[in-house]
Amino acid sequence: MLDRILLKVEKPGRYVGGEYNQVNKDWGSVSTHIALAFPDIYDIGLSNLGLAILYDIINKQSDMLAERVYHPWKDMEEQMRTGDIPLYALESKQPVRNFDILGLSLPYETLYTNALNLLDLAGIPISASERTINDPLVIAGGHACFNPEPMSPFIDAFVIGEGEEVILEIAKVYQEWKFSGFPKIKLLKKLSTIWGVYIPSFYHPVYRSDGTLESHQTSSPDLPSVIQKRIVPVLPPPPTNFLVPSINIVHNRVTVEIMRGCTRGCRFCHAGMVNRPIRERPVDEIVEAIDKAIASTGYEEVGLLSLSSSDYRHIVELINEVSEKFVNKKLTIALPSLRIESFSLDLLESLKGSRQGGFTLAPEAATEKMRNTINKPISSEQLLAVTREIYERGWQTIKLYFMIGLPGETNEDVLAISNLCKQVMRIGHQVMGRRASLNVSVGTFVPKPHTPFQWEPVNTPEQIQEKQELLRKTMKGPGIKFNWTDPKETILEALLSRGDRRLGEVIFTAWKNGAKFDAWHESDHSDIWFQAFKECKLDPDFYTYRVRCEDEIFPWDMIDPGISKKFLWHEYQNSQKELITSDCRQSCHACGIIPSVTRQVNYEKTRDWFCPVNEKGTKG
Amino acid sequence: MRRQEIGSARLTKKVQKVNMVRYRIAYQKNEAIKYTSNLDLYRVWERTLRRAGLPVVYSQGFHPQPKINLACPLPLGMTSKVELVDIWLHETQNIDHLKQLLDHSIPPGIDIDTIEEISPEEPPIQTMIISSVYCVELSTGINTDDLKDKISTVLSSPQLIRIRRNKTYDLRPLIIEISISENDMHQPILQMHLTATEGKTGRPDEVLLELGIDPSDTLISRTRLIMRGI
Repeated sequence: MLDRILLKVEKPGRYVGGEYNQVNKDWGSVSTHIALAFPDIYDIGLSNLGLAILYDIINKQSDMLAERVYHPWKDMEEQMRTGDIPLYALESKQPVRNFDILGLSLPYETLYTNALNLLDLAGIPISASERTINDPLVIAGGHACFNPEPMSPFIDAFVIGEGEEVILEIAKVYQEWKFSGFPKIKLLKKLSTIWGVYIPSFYHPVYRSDGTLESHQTSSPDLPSVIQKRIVPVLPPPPTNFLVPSINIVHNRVTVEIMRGCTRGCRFCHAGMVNRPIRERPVDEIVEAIDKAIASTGYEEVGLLSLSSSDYRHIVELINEVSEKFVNKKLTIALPSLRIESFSLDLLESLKGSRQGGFTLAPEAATEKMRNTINKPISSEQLLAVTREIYERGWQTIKLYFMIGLPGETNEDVLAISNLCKQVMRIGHQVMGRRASLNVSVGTFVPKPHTPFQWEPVNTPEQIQEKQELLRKTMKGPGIKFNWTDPKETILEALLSRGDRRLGEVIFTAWKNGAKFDAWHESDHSDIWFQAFKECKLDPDFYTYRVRCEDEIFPWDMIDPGISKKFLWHEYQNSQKELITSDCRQSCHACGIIPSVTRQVNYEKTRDWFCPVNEKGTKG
Repeated sequence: MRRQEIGSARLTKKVQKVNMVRYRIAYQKNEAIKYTSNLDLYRVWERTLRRAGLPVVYSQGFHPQPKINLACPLPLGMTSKVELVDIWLHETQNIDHLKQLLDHSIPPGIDIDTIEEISPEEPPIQTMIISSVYCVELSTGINTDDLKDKISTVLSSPQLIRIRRNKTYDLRPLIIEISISENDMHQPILQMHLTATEGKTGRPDEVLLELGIDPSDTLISRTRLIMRGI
């Protein structure tokens, strides 16, 4: 049956599984079946590190199995709907609805409609309240879940934070409940006692007449009023048995996380705020993981993952070991998020490599004022000096990331981006003539929950267009390539990221009216989205362009990311005063992560996580 | 906003000229990997050799590629009993040991039958293939008498103009022979012998369409590769 439709779709290899390193467990041999779903196509989902970690952890348990599910591309969806084929997992080809637990990965908001569509393709009721004990327990995790409210009508339980330990705790609770004969509410009740689990159906937002929140009510007094995010105090050894696809996908490589968390405190950065504290992996563990992963996958590229490679304390030692050990193995090593300094060039050069591809840097802003506002201080002189060095050392292409739409930004700040880029290009031409090139990517800032900018409005499409037009007019010259984000994408992301529970109905309506694949650039469903707001009698501008006041209760306030709202407000004030807050390594700014985490884990046992200053015994 | 902020470098060291040993692997491409295209199959072999820890010979230049040659592309969705691939290694291997290493490292769906060492002087394998034979399992309920008539019509036509991917071509000279038989379960089996040289490769699904059969109703398998004598 499947064979008949697979010849009619593009890249049928997406839908058959059977990759090298796939774990095949006998369905009947385990009591608990967990489907791990990425609500975008195979090509994007397969390399998702979060799901790879969970797949590895669950399949190591003798009484459980994990299988994979991706969202089919449109052609396959059409074939499946016409042929009445329910969404199935790739390993056993069992329908998703036969699983005990369905875990959805929600790393970004534009996957929400796909998540609903995935449930629908699986034949699982989309609304959590309509699901019975015969349906899988639907759980979700990932960065977007730090504001779980918009998706809460569809999810039974959210995991807030890191999943390595909590996934097994959830599965164990499920196993105990499965044959107990108790109603589902008992299961949810038990799950709500797990650190990091949020059960949305137990919480009820109460709104004021102006649409803002009055409070989050809990349905019973024994429930926690605040959900603390989950962290793993010590990073467990990284997975090495990565699946090796038999077809070409995006990001075809081994990824080894070297460090979690970041000490920089860039005020726009969601990841930098919600992933505290810093936890580093030992060099030996990383090198061993690379060795094992290469042997078990045969991949030709390794990405060393962290929010800021240059800040990993043992980076020099790591790079030296890696280059010694793997030289002559035709291996490409990728280092993300390098700081703008010559040290970063030294690092890549000590990989003894040929100049592979380009060199990417993210100055984000082009004037001192804006850099102070976002707390990413780096002088233009330094950027120019470093880019000169990059060209001089032989890289032909530099890629620069900037942002527009930042708080307090004027047209001068925007024009400064063009000027700076043109200066970089001029340097490139001086150094290596026509061969030098510069790719400039200008994204648009979206204020995110749990960041100092959570009080800020997003720019309107008109403001964004005006700024982009300024850049298009001025960012000209041989060698420069410039790209930008569609304002419609920005607005959709802004609407969803700071939404409240009422947006659930909007998401549902938009999906019902045909919105899906919102993360894809060619998808433009903004008409559908605005129509959905209309149908639900909600004003989209309330979520996007409104300035929030200091004491506003946010829809995500019952989620505690470990850093205090007071700290975020203080940082917001600093941004308006254009004041720099130093790296946590230089002094502690009392964000609250240490007291927050020590409430949950015994500090003595967990020497591996730290705030750099806290090691010396100062306040946390 | 998704983006990739990355710097990368490839670890390389100058290799001196060393000896090269060429091995020819005969393998089957079975159900589990039949949706992997020829281009992707090259990658599958590259990673298999790396997993096996073999001293693969790489091309020179800025983007060194492993020396792997696939004999003749197999259309997506078809299986084969008779695929061939040549690989180049820096060191001579014990054939049995080599087979063991590869069996252990190959993804599901590829089954290795034999490995032989061949002269590095032999011409590239892609240039050695002249034709291939396909075996098509038809769904039951096909009227074999009708089909036999259609086959004779096709074979007696001076030309068969078809359009594939917006290009017009003549299918007839690519057909060497078509015959019909039955398998043990009395199901009709179609055998077709089609040319398989550079730019002149007959596709079995195209022949089926010419015979009025929907290829997605059938199972197609390559059963022979015919090589020219050296």
